[in-house]
Amino acid sequence: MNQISQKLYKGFLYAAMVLMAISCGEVEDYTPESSFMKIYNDEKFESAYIPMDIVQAGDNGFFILSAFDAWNTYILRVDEAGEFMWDYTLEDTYVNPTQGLFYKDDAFYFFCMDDLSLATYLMKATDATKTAEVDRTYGNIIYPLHASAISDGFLLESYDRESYSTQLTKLNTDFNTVWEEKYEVEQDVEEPIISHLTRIGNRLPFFTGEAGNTYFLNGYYNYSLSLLFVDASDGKQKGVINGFRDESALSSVLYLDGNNYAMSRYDFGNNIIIPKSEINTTDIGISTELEGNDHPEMTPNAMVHSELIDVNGKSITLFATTTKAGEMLLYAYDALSGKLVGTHHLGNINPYEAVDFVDTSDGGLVILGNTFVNGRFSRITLTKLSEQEVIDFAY
Amino acid sequence: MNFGRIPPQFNSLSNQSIPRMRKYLFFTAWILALFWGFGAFAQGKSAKRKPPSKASSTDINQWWVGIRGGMNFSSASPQQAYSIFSYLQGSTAGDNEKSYNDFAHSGLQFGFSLGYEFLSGMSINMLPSYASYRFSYDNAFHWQDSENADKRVSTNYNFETRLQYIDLPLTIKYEFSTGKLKPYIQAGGYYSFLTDAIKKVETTGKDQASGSDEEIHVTELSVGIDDRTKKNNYGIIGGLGFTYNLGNARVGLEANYLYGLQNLDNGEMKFMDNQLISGTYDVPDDYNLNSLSISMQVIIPLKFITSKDYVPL
Repeated sequence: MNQISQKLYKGFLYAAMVLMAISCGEVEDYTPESSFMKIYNDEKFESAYIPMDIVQAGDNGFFILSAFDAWNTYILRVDEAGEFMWDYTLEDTYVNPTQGLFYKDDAFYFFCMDDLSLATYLMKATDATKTAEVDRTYGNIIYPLHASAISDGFLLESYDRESYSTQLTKLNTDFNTVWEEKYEVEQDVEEPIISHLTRIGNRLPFFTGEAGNTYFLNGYYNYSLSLLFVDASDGKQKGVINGFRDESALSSVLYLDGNNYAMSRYDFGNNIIIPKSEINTTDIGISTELEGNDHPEMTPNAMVHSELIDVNGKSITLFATTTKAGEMLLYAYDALSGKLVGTHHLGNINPYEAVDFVDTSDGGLVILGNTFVNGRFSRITLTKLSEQEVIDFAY
Repeated sequence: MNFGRIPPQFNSLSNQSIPRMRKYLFFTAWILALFWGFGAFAQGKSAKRKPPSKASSTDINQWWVGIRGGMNFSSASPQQAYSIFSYLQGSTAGDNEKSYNDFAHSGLQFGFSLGYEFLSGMSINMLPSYASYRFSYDNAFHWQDSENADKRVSTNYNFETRLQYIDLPLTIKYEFSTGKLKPYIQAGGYYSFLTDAIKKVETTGKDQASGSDEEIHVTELSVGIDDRTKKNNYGIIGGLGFTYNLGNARVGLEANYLYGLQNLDNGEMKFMDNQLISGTYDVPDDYNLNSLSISMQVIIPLKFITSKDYVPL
């Protein structure tokens, strides 16, 4: 019996050792910078924040540009863990915060508009001042619609109400005008543009970009929302993909390589994603002839944001959009083959809308969105997926 | 201002090495206890050489087996609080802080016991059991018009977490008496394996902005959180109780306090989106689980099976 007792006691000991070995495989605790989901809230019933754009401030967090109460301007600064740092609501004079946000020399730059003269302001915000101040005024550019960074400066799309024209202005890296060019709409489209800017009507997909020695802009041209290709040296029009009024149009364009583009378009509410398509930028085409994949899950005439990102050494075309179920949805396509790699849904129960995203320096992905807290209060939301989470769905 | 990461309410675990160090200390202590018991066991071997006539049914070198079961009441001890909300300038801070309801819900446990009495009144015991623990917390949010205080909406969430474990406590027990009624105290450590985890959410609200002063029951939701909870737990256990000789068996009642030493939230999944995160705005805190358990037990000595005169072999 003694031997049995001793064996049983040794059994206790061995069991303890096994438990110790198992415990060594436990997961680590949470690292705030690696992944998070944040909603920037205040308790004011009447507040409504509508995020527009986001930029990463080096390794030191993010800067968010937002509309506030329809078309006033609000800026929000958060740290690398998504925590609130400071915010600032601009005076009522500065309206129409324009998509296009730039981080340069430890300062944040964006465009907005004077509520009376409609002139365009270049605003500058810094962590030191925790405000946004006018850096420059462009009196000849009214109704700014979109801005983007290019290799040697910036592009700014606007609408000229006097000549019924869409205008593209090239700025150098110091925001000085290099050239400007107008493209005739042939009719007055101020009303849908005001509806778009004040959010009392449909949001319209204005955007600009660079494709080698060609720039492109999506805006009103020849009665319709069309994609124009222009010469990078002087802005002269090279080709066009025509839409139909504002019912059929391209909703995003991303230059891949050579003559290849990733695009999305809508046609009377239906949405089509074109992960890879060869485009002749000197031709005249029609958007409805661009073939792609139907996506009935997307909201009618969905807003889409696309970027080329690197996922574990693989080039991925990522589209962010919003579903009819009120989710943010990411589609990841292999940039070489154009084949779908994976999708990722974000948001439950309450409505969430995808606005923009940036791939972070640590391999993660930050998605800017608009949510309706409690189903009714419009707030900014920021979600960061860790590098591993991105690899899990997009590699 | 930074309202998202709320300062720790108790001991801060901002440095990850602290819980890891605690774990090693815990296991060191546990193993030392085992070796101490083993040393005592060796002493028990020499004690066994006493004349059989002086032995009794509770004498040295006795093995005890039994069954046990009862109920428990738990509390979650938050170490680091988290929220999905980050409040903007001018907002009221702290409104999103969770309010924990300590020892408010009962759970159950049942299992076996295996004890070895190596000195008179002193024994080492393994108490494997299947246990369910429940705890809850409340969270509330409100929105109010700046100019019209009657225009107000509030939403209250009650989150109840149910965790099920296979617990493996190992204790050293000391009995104070050799009579029929034997009060005792015990202390030791435990290690647990998670078998299931569920979180239930009940949402209520008041919508004065829509013209109602009544509280409205909004939704109930139940979500599995196995992947959001660490698969293992460990801690220290201390308790007291008594047994009463009833024929060849002993019946007893005991109360134990289980003090968890590990954060149970799986940090890798903390903000991974699901219905709880983006739907009910619930981001779990880092927390330890503490529990008060009360059990009834019946134990029998193994050596009676082979000894007619109750003398241990």
